[in-house]
Amino acid sequence: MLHSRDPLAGAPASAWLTAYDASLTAPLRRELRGWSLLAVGSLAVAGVLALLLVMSRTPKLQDLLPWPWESFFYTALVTHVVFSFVVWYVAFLGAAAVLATARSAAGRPRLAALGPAGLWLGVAGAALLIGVTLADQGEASLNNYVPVLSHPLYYAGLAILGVGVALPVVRLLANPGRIGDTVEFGVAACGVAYLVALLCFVIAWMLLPPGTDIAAFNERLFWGGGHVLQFVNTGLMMMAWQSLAVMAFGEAPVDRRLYWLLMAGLVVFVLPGPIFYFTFDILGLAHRYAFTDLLWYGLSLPPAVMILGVFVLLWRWRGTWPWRSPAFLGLILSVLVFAVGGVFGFFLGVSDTRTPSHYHAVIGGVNLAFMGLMVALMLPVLGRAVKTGRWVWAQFCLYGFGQLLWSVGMFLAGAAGVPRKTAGVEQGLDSVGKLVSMAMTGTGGLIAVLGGILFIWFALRRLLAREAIDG
Amino acid sequence: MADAMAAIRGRLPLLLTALALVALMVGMPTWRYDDRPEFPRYAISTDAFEAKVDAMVRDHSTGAEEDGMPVVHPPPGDVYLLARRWQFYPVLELEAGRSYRLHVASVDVLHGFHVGDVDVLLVPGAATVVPFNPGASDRPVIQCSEFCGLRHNRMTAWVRVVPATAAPDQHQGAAAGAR
Repeated sequence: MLHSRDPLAGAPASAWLTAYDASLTAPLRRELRGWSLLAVGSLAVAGVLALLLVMSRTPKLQDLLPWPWESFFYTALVTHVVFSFVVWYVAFLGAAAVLATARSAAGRPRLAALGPAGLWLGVAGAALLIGVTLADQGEASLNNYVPVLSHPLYYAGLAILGVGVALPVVRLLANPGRIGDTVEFGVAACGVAYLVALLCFVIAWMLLPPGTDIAAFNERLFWGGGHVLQFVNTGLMMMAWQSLAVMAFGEAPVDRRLYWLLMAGLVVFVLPGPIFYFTFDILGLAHRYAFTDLLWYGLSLPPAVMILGVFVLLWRWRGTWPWRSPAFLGLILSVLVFAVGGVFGFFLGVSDTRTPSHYHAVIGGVNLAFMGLMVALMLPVLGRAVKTGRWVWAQFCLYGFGQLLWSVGMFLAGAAGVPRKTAGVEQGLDSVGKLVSMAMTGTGGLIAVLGGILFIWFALRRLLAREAIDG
Repeated sequence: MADAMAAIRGRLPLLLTALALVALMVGMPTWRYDDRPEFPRYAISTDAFEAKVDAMVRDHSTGAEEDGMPVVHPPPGDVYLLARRWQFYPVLELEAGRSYRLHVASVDVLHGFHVGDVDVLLVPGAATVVPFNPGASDRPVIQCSEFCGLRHNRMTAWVRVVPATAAPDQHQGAAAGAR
């Protein structure tokens, strides 16, 4: 279980970088930089929108906004969520697909034109989403997974972005790599799951009856595909764990065959997704439960096995942990936060704050893994590495422990009976325990935001620099 | 022999994971559907259902209000609760230890009715009957579990549970045929 025969396993981080550096031709390098910019840039956009959200709720400041702040609050909230959790994740998939293609095709991929076309579509889709938001168009709909502004151009933006990411994924699948390669096989598996998610969106669009209330329309349009996208995010996180462990310790947490099985397991579980649309009424309760079950049954075991592998690996290397390595920091904090979120998942109560404690922790775990891979692999192979000093250490620790504090606080508050999705007196903070746990949540959130800002600052600064020089 | 054992040990995590994955895949379609209770539903127009709710409010209002909605104290038996953007109407005050049958229906768009382990989809034009037996220490919260618009998150209602005031079976017979 502890020994991997990944072609790059056992190699120190520098060997990984050399291997990718050799296969990243100039066009692929431009693509990788473009997707990385879109990914990190989407977090920056989400951050700016968060500031506008605060402005729209602050007396006096709200009058400075060029939009009616009452409606703009929800408009900005929708796009803030879309850029934090949709554009950031799918653009990261685009970047990972370019990286995997570079290796699998040794720098000369078939269907090469799909790469730049996909990137331009991705950028155009994201620009359209921002445009509709700034024009304050469409009614805000805070439905699950992919909230939207109900305006034709917003749906078009999402569709163009979705197709844009699909193109480098299709190109990767047209250039099949080594089945034992962590990145090539892992990203390809996630790519298949991504295409299944897109198929779910398309089928839902076609099946939803005309005249369906807009709230129900948006909810059911994104319900199935949104669930499948969580398999993509989790798969990419597992690929990142396997890669970061090799970069930090020269050893993979799980055997090559086990890694293959776990990734293949993720793909097999999403395959029934499109079929559910034809077996259950798209507006029915069974349809809703079918996808929830898919998540429960398909998404528990693979990360749990990998977490076990990482824990064993960390135990074997105890005493020699490379605390200044971004690969190590990304790995250990991601696994820790995700594992805590996973445990919280067994105590879900619909009506209290234990539910958000679960999903914020698992999202935080995914974010940390992506941040780790961005800082430890993607930026260095682009010749744009961040200096691994105390600021990088602080960035990972602030984000990781901030997320942990936030989620533990939410969990304790929920266990004490604080209802979810409430504010002010509705929360019923009538005991010291509830107050302390909600204070933990607030403090943790603030700390995590600082870590997020540091990441965006480091990564964007290096990605936007004119010259590709490390340091 | 020792080599064979070592080979098996080496592949044990792989084998166990494969078995667990297969078990999850096979089990998924059957495990969860068995324990989801089905509740009786009947067709009713939104106007007819609103009329039943209005009659209940008229007959059993306590005179109190909560968030601008009347608080009603219906007798054990059939109770009518209406779901609409973004409230459950009216506020219910029920007695601990008594048995109620909640008739719940949406009068505008798709809503969900979630309380405790019960989760029901409310489709306009049909009412669902859910048995409800509040305990003395309960503070049941009803939530909409189907996204229904901007204030969906706020579509919650707390049921007031008060001590029983009369013999448990006093109202049962009279209320049973109310539907």
